[in-house]
Amino acid sequence: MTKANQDLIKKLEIQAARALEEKANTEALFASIGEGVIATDTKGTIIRVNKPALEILGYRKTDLIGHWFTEAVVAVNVDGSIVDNQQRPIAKAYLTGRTIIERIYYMRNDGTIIPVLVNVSPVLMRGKPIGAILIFRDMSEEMRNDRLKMDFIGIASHQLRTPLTAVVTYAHMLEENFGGKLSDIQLSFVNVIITASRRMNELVGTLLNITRIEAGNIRVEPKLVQIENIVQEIMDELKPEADSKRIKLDLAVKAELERIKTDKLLVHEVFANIISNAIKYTPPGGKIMITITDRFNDIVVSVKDNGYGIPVEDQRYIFIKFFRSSDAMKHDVSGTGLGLYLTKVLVDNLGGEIWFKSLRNKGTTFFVSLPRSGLERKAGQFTLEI
Amino acid sequence: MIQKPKSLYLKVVRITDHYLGPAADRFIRRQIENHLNKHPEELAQADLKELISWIEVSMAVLTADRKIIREYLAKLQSLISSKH
Repeated sequence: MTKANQDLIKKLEIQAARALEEKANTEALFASIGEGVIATDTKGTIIRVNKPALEILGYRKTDLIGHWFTEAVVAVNVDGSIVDNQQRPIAKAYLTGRTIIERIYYMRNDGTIIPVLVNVSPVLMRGKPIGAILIFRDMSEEMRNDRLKMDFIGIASHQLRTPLTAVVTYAHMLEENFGGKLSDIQLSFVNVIITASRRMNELVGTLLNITRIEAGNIRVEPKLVQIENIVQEIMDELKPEADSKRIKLDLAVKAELERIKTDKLLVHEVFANIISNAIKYTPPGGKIMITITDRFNDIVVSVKDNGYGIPVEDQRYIFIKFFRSSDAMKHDVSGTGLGLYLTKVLVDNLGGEIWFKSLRNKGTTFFVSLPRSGLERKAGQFTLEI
Repeated sequence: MIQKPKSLYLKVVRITDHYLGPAADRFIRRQIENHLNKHPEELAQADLKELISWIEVSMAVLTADRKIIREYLAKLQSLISSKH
């Protein structure tokens, strides 16, 4: 064997040893992650899975490796029905190219259902998608605590409603001089009571809506409605708020829109939240443009502002309950982090989708699509609190 | 009379409609907007290769039927060589 050949063999041996070491390191890293991790290839086949993932799902490695992810790891709704493939976080991650963080339910090997928080991202190599990586953790304990917390909030909110109504009614009576003429200073005090009570009333309403909708207790009553009319109604309601900040609210309807069968109350709450947020997070003198277009099977409403925008690092969390962006807290200290969560849940209930684009200090555009095919009636104990 | 779609985007949607039905438009529109950062109507022939690679991985989580996926991708590939 020539010296050149020997050198080449040695070189190859070193490279092979390095590759093996790198592989072992990657395996060790993968195995040491405390949360469940599953990696898939371009065909959606599971190519790697770690021990916590197997423990959470109750499978053996051979049950998953080499199997089609969508079928091997079954995602279900809270009622046990199978989640549509297009609604699964992995599909959304591929559709958007972004990391998707969602709370969903997986069916374990023994048929039990567990809530999990999934974080899924497409994996790119030189800009080309080569698969996806899913990180998830069992949320059972957190969900139990969350449920107890929401039950408590639900009861407390309900109990707050009655005394709050009395405070608001009597404050208005004082304002109208039913208890005798008030001095200017007394009137200003009463106005503070009215404003604060209104805010508290809104918060109680939001909390009640969330507890009821999470319990599947909200009635859905579809009727033929014109989306344009609902949006116009909301714009009229929010005009004083916009005027007080000299914000221009405009509406453009770019299609001949037919009426669709949907729940007016839910649609109203969705757009009232989005437009009111746009006003809140747009500086004085700003502009908000609402556009309604139609797309094959949907009506799409976009709300574009030239406000503060959402920082990139916060964008993936904004539909998560109680999350507040650092920038949002600077501009509106009184927010609760519930508005967009509620909006997302309502849009889901309407069979639609919500997404956004945002650039810091340039503005945000929220998009909501609603199916033109309409909605089915859904029984429930309550209607939405407005 | 059925009219031929004018834009490349509509051609892609029309092919996709056969496989995804009513979800076709939303599926394609979001891929174009999110991955190519373009308005769907601005989709150009040069974008098709990248778009198809995203469609391929997305379809792979929607169906395990590789035959259908291959057939669908082949129809999309034919748009690359066709005159638009």
